[in-house]
Amino acid sequence: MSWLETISPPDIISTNGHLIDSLFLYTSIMACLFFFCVCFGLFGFSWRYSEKRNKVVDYTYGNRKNQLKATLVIGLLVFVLIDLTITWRSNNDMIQEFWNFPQPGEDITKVEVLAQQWMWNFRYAGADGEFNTGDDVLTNHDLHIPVGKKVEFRITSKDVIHSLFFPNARIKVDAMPGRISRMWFEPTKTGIYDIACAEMCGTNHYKMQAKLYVHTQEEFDEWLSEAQHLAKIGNDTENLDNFWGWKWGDK
Amino acid sequence: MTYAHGKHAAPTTFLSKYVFSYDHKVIGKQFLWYGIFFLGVGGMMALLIRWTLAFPGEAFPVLGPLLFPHTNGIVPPDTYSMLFTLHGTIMIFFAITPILIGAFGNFCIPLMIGARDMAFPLFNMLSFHIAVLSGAILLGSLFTPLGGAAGGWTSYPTLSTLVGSPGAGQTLWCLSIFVLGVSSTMGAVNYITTVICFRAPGMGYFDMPLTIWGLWLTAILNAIFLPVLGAGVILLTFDRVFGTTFFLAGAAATSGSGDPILFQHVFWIFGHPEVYILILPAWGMVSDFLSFFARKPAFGAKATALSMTTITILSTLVYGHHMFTTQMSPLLTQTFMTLTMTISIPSAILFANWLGTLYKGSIRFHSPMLFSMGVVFVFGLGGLTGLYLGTVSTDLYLHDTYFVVGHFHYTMAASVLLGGYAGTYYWFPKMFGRMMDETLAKIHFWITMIGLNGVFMGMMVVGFAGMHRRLYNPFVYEYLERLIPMNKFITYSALLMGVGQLPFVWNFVYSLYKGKKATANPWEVGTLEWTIPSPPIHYNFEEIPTVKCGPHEFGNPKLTNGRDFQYQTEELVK
Amino acid sequence: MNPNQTMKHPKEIAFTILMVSWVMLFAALFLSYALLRFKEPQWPPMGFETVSLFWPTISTAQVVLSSYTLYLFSQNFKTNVEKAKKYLYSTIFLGVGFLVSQKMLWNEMNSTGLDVGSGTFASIIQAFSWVHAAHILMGVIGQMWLFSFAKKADDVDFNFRVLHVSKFWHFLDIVWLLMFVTMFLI
Repeated sequence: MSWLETISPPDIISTNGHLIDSLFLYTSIMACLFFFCVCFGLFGFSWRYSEKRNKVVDYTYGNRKNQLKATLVIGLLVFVLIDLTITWRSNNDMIQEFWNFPQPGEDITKVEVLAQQWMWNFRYAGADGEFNTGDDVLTNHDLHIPVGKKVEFRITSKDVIHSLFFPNARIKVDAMPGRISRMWFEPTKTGIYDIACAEMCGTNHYKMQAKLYVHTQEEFDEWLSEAQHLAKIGNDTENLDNFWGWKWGDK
Repeated sequence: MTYAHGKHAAPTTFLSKYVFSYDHKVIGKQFLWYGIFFLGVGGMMALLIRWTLAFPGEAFPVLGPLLFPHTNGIVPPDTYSMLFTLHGTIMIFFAITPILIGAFGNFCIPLMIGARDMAFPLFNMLSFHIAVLSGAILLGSLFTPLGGAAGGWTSYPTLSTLVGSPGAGQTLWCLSIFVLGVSSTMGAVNYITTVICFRAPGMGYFDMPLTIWGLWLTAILNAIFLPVLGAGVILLTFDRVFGTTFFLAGAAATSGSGDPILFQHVFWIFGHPEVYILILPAWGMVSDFLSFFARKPAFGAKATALSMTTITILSTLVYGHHMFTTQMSPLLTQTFMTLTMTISIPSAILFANWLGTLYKGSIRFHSPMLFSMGVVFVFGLGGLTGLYLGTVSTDLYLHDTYFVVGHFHYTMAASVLLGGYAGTYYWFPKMFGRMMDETLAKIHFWITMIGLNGVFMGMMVVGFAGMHRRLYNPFVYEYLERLIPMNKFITYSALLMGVGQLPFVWNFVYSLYKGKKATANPWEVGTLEWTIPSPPIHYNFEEIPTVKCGPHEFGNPKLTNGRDFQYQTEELVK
Repeated sequence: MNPNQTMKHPKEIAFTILMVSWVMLFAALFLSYALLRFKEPQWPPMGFETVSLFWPTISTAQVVLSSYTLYLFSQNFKTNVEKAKKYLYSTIFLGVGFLVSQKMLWNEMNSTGLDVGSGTFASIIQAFSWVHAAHILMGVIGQMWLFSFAKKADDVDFNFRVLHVSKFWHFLDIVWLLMFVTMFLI
């Protein structure tokens, strides 16, 4: 891996993740321009106006009309050319993309997420297509989604605040007890990627990882139908081959 | 209370001179020792953290086996959480606050405005001892059975409630913060009142050095917002001790749940002004020192004072940018983003004025000047990285990564530390009557600058690469394994930075006893503290001075007496 | 500004700053109350009854009356020692009475299922009034600090003490009235 690769953010696997990297680059360019000016002044003036080189100072308070105007203009220019352009771009990105949740009725992958100390639980609707029924598919640690289709997460936490972080999609949202938060993205590449918890949640916060499996649609359908089948069997109290719970017995 | 404002007799007993002194100069020094002690503790914690990140699974040298015998010297995960929690808490409340605000505020304000002491000397003394009490409580929390607080210095519930943090450590943390808040509020009342009431005749607000502006604005923010932190911490304590349910939610809230996010709102309403509280004294000092050592008036001094005031006001309106990932409504989110961006305007004006001060000056590179220029450099970097974090979309990626850590360390740690060192080298002669050694100071400066930039730029790099915060062992994640070399680099830089403080410690201690004796005005600066001996007599001014010109009168071509500056007590030569 | 005659000014300014700090403390508590209340679809939340107005009303009467008696004290302490004594003792008596009423309120809430563990409704009412009561206690101690008024009536510093103890007390009175209206009435 080249040195540059070691310090670059991970591959983008979402349709809109590049917007973040692109805005980051734009902000960096703006910041470098400003910082270059600061360094030019700092180092340049240090060299040119050191005591040895310059004996006579310019005795000014810097509060003449034109000097004040110049300072104010600098402040406003920085605000308009740097801050406002960044803000405008970011606002667009948020409205058009990150806050642009899938509409109800759209065909998307839906996943409910429960964060807990120190594990991620994922829930898919079972064969009946409804959440919170006895045949829901429950996984922990492994999140499976199909490529090319939007996935929406609805997230909460059982205990403390966690944060669901997909580095490859460049987004995160906090998982808060007592609230449901939402996040969506559209994966563009198959593969196995990391999911991290990005809010301090206790001693094993560092181990609270999960894996994201992005499958082709066929592979995902296969996995999901198998999982739904197993979920149904696993919870079917009539099917004695597979169901294995029993009443506790003390009375 | 006429005690401190007339020419009172000097205290005679050891206790009244050094322990229960009413003298602002002594209280300032007391805060200095107190802050330096905690700076060392916090720094040691940082090294333990950095060691764990660069060499996971390896024992910390020398101290490791002593501190963690049951893991053979390796820092255990729960201790790691305590370390970063207390590192943050200690550095903010027990190092920066006592040194920049407690020490420099107490020492400099009366001297620079021409007063004999603070407005309320007894109150001042109490504020120090209450601060000591809070430090004792915090250190005491480390010895409880389950150890100290471990939920981050931000102590978000529900991790900081009994759900996530059973045990007395977190409760004692809350208590310690509350007591410290009381101490700092007392100090703030003193500073604000002293600046308003005890300026020497002839010193209007814009004749005050910018250092005083910085300290005064900081005190105003402290007085207004510390009570908000107090309220938050009280409510958290009630949840922990009396069973209230303000912040409990989720499975733990067996009945009627509260809102953990409420804490975040209350905390950050204080927390954002707090970061400006920490930087304002350094800004003020740097604005003055650039002028003093470029031998020319501070460019746009009034505009600088007004910019600092504007930032003070704006800082109260932007706290939500710490909470973008909690999914507040889009309108609220957009409002916070836009307001956050407006802070660029006064900040840019500060930079313009700093550079304008250097332009066509005659720059003397004494240590306070080197450190001040260092502040301009690191604050430039730190402030600019705030742009990425104030922007909602990039923040979605960067929140809770090392990018944030790099950002706030550049702005808080680097800038404030360098500013604090500038102030220390500058006022050491006035405090102790001796000069510190300039060669050691320069060595200190360069090693610190190299080390510091290595650490914090490195952090921003790994942050952008995706490494998130507060991880005991990041390399559990596949996508972070490639960052091991960079983390090692950061740790080596941190070690270098740590080592670089040794010349300072040696210089400081040696100079206290053997430094060259200082004259009344070794830096040839005209502010009021340099018109009296080094160190001053215990009631400062034989006669209260009358101020006749501003604090930055340098380079006036009409000066004829062989000096290139005027004392504030001299009529302005026109 | 001549520092030699500033004894008056600094205490006024310092007190104003302290009042700002206290306002911010209670404002933060009010803000927390507002955020918690407006998160709930109904208030009191499902399953809880509003708190009986008996003890809150008595508390209100006590604190308002005590503000009046303290005001009368401040008008009389220089001219009529006997009256002033009565007013000062009444104020303290009413202040302590307020604390007793608050304790009765908390007891009543705890015994009717409105203990703090039952949820934010009870938590905010009790906790907020604990904080307020702690400051009332500070106010009562401040009033005891005025006992030497007969001897010190002409002392400038003492006059400030009276003024500031009074202002602090009236402030707490206003805070209680706001609490009464927002937590018990509506």
